[in-house]
Amino acid sequence: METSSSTSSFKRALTRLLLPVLGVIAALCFAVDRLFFTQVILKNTTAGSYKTWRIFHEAHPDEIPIFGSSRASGSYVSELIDPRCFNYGIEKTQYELTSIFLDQELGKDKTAPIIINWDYEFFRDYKGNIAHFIPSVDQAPIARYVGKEMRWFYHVPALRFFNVYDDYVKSYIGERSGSSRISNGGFFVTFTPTEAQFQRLIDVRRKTVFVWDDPAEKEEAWEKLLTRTQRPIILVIAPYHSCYFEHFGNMEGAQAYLHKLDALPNVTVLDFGQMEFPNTSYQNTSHLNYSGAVEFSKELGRKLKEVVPAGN
Amino acid sequence: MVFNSSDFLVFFPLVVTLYYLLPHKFRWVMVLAASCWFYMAFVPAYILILAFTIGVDYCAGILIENNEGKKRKRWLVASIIANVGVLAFFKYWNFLNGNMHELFQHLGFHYPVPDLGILLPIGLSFHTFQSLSYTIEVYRKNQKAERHLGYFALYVMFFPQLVAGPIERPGALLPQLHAEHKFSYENLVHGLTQMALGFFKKVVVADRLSAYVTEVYDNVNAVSSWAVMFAAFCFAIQIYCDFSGYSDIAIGSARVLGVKLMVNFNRPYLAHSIGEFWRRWHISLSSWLRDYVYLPLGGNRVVKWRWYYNLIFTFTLSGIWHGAAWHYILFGTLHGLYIVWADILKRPVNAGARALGLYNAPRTNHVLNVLLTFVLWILSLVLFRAMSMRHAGMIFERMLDFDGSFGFHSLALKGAIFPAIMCLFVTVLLALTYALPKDLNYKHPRTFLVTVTMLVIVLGRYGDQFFYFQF
Repeated sequence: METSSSTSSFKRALTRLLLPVLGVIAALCFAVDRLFFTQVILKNTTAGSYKTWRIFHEAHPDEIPIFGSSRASGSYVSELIDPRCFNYGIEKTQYELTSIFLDQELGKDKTAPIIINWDYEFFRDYKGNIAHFIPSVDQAPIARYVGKEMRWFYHVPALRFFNVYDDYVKSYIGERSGSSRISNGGFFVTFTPTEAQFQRLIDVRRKTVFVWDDPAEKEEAWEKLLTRTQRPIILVIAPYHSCYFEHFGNMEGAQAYLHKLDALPNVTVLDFGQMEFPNTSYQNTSHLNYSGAVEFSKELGRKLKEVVPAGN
Repeated sequence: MVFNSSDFLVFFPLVVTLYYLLPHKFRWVMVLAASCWFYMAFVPAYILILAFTIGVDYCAGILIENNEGKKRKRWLVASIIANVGVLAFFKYWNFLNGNMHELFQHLGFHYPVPDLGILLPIGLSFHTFQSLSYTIEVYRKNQKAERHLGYFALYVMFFPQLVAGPIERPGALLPQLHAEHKFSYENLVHGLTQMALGFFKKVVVADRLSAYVTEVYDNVNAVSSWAVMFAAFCFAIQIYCDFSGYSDIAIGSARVLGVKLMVNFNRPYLAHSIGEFWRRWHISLSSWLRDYVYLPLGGNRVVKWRWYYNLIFTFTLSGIWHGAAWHYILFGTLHGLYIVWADILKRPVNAGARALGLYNAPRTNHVLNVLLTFVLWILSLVLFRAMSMRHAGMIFERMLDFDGSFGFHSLALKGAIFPAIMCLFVTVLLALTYALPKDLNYKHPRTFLVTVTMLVIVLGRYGDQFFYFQF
């Protein structure tokens, strides 16, 4: 008698509670996931999550991609360089992700040039925010890139964005708030620090020593990737504030490496690293603000016309 | 294993399924094994400490019951020494040693004894107190000694409340562990809704506020004093949600297995005095200290100065229980002093309230008392959350700076206002849960479960471990 009441109680739990609740949660998860993905992530063109998704899923045959870090996303105003440009710059990413993006780009049937923002910290290990990669973890190179940070629920609708919903929403609001400028993937800070604030940033930079080292293995792989194509590749060093170079160790080594890259048949190095700007053109000592980005982009646009063969 | 981990998502349904599939006589073995697994997910070797405590108190219980007179007391003392000894060794050794080191240094002597380079076993204070309550109750003849080692081990190790309580009493828990529990729809509904509420408190509220509080307290001098005050408020909400959230999950998961654990929190932020606050906050510890420390000292049935001493002593002990550091001790003592001051100031305060006409407005009077209690609690929590006494001093100093103009912008961290907005938003959501039935007897449990689960998924954050694990 007791067993049967327990069994009926279990059946009741299953049919009246567990299955309906799990069913509704599953349906809601699919709906929230779809809605969030299509209406927030894919509509937020300056966010890394969209850029990562775009490089894998969209062809854009005439597009000139701009790859790189936050120095790429915040310094290259696409329409002033070439209207075909799309800025794929993602903050706190360097060599490893740029290589994946470039590899993907080279797999496309295109002839347009490729612009890569090259930082002196290019070969350092930066991973970037996981939120940029979750929508694309089904792509093998991104799955490998995410590596140890991969979680089982990154494949479960709605649950995959657990803990990073805020990041997407913040970015979405930021893009639409009007407090910054945006242009084909580029996101530009309009903020100009006061002279005192900027002086503090300079003081911090002066306490930072950066030494260029030659990571042979990465350099070799990088050169191999660059020469895999006939497409023109423009490596651009965006401007730094002059204080950046005050404690720069082994500049000769860095320059020698850049010369080596410049000598590759399809590669052109454009070094704007020490281009002079007033302090008001920076948001900090390694990043331009919008007014600096405009000036730099105009200059880059002019230079690009000189170095890229007509028809590309 | 922590409740807010993916491991627990697999562990719990598996344990529940096995529990109801197995015949009653084998259930204790399965739950005990599951509890060992649960505990060993932290530092496996520390299971030996639990084994020691269980072994000692199991034997002590039987020996106390089998003996009379002084011998009973001797076995009780042996049990207390063994339990407190383990606690003292793992939890307080470094604290005492550090203080000795400073004292010797101050006096110009060399102090050669090194600190222990070990992690504090998780939940040590909780299961030690739970185990101690057993031997004390057997000694008081309120409880028969448990002859079945397996059930006794399960009493100490029952996984839902093993690492952060509620600290159960043998009279309440042991009979329930022995009893055969049939699967019950009501228990499942009640248990799951309470667990859902717990996850909401922990993952949505506590873990989000934790990020703001940590950022502010780690950079006290780089943020506005308004942000420091807001962080102090947020910490009060965080610690409540963190700990009561844990209790909710513990009570809920035990309920699914048919076991009713004691209520550990009863809307403490609605308390109108510090005394009442402690009857609503961490009730299992407060009542433990009341029954085994405060009342044996004489409680309030003594002369006034002795009553004050009893209060301050008990609360100081509560501070020591929380952590081996001066700021925890001061936190406890401060609460004892709050109650003593409240008693001393009772007459002038009542006279003032009468003069202001508050006696004719009992509701206003009540609200003011609730607010005052909450503010006193927030201030004491600065001591609780600080890394050290010096850090607490810095936080208080910054609070009193009142720098910059007050506005929402003053709560920003590194120029970003979004975290502060979200902290306020989840606090409002938490406040809405106060409108829910206290007994969690919802009309529409399915709607509740679906809503809370979706809120956890969308608004949840990865957080730290539960704050009280360190105790």
